[in-house]
Amino acid sequence: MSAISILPERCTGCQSCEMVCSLSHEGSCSSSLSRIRMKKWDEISVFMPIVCQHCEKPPCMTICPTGARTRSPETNAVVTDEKRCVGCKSCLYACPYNAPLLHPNTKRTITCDLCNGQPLCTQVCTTRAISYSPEGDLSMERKKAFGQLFLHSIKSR
Amino acid sequence: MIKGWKGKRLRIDLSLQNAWSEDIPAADLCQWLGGRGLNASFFSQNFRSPISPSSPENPIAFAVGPLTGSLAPSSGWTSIASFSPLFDLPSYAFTRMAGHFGVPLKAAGYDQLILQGKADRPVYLWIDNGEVKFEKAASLWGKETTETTVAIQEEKGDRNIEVLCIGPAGERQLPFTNVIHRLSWTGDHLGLGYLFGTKQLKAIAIRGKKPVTLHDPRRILDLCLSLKGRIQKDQRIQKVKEEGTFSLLGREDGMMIKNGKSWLPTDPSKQWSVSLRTHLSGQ
Repeated sequence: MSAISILPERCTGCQSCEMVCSLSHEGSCSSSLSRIRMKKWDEISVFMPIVCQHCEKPPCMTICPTGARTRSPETNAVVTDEKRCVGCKSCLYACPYNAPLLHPNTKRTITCDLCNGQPLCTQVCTTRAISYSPEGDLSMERKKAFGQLFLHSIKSR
Repeated sequence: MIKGWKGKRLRIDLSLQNAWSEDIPAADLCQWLGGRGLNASFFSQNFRSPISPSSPENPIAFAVGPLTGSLAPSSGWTSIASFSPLFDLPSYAFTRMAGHFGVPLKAAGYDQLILQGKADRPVYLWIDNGEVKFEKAASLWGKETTETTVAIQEEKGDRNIEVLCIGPAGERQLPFTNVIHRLSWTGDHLGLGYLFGTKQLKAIAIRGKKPVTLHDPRRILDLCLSLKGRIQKDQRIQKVKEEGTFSLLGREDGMMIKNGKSWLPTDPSKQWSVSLRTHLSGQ
C-alpha cells in the first residue's frame, strides 16, 4: 500500500509539483508533461493536485487491452510499460481520478512512478499539501491535519 | 536559440487587430538578462522621449526572465513597463507582477509581449499556445475581475487558463487602477488599469503548452531542490508563512527590512508614510 496523499485545503496552487515532475522525468518544464496536475477554481481559491493513487484494485490494469499497466515490485506503483502501451486511452476513461496522461510526443500513457520511492513533488511542496508514506497508514497526514484543527479550536476558545 | 529563452517577441496592434512575432537577437537576450532589461531596451530603441500615456502608440510591455517557467524559486515574476499616467510628466515606469502570467507566456512561445494601438470596441486577447485571437468583450464590459476571469474560463471551457483583467474602475480610466490576475496578484504602481482602459482592452487570457527547455536539467533540478530546502528552513520565511508579508515590517528580532521607507507610499514617488510604518506588524 503506497500512494501520494494530498490535502487540497493546504494547496496554494503554486504548481511547483508540476515543474519538478516534468523536469525530472522529461528534462524540460511544462504542465502538460507533468504526471501530477493541478486543477484550480479561481473564484473560491481552491486548488487540487491530481495524481495516480496506485489503487489496490486498479481499473486501468483491468481495462488495459495489452497488459501495459503493471505493478512495480519495488515501489508498489502502477506503471505503464511503454513498449506494450498502444495509446488507446482506455485507462484515461477507466480511472476515477482521470490521472493518466497521454504524452504529447510519444502518445503513450504516462502516470506517477513514485520517483523510485522518493517522490520529488513531496520535497518541493512548501505547504506540505503533498505527502508520501510508503508504509503505514496513508490517511495519517489527514488525521494529523484534523487533529491540529481540533487543537486550534480548543485553544482559541 | 539560447536554452531558457524562446527568443521571440509577440507584437500586437489593437487598432488594426493584427499580431505578429519578431525574433529577439541573442545578443540582446544575453546583454539584458531578465524581463526588466528586455523591456527597457525595447523602450530605449523605439522611443527617444516619453509620449503621452493616453496615446494609442504608448506600448504596454510584458517580459519574462530566462528562469521563468522553470522550477527555480521565485522565477514566476513578470516584468511590466509602460509610460505611466501616475506622474506629473509622462515618464517611463516599470513594475513586476507575481503569479502565473509569465509562465504561460513563456510556454506559449514568447519572452516578451508588446501591446500597442487602441481598439475601437471592447476586446480581450486570447493567446492559445502562440495563436492570437481578438475576442469581443462587450458582454464582459462592466463586470468585476472575478466574474470576468470565470466568464472567460467558462467560455473557453478550460479552468486552467490564466486571465489578467481590469475591473469597472479600469474601464472608467482611473489613473491609479490595477490589473488583477488570479484574484490576488496585481501589476501595481504603474496605472495599468488606466492603460488597459484607454486601449479598450478588457483582459488577456493565455494558455501555453510548449515545454521550457533548460541547458542542464539535472543540475538545475539539484540546485533548485537544495535552494528550496534552504528557503524552507529560513526563519524569515517561517514568519512570513505564519503572519503574512506584513511580518517583514515588524521591528523585533532584526527582521525589519532596512530602508523600508518605500514600502507604504501614499502618493507615488512623492510621499511615504514613514510614521505609519512603526505601528504596523504582522501580528
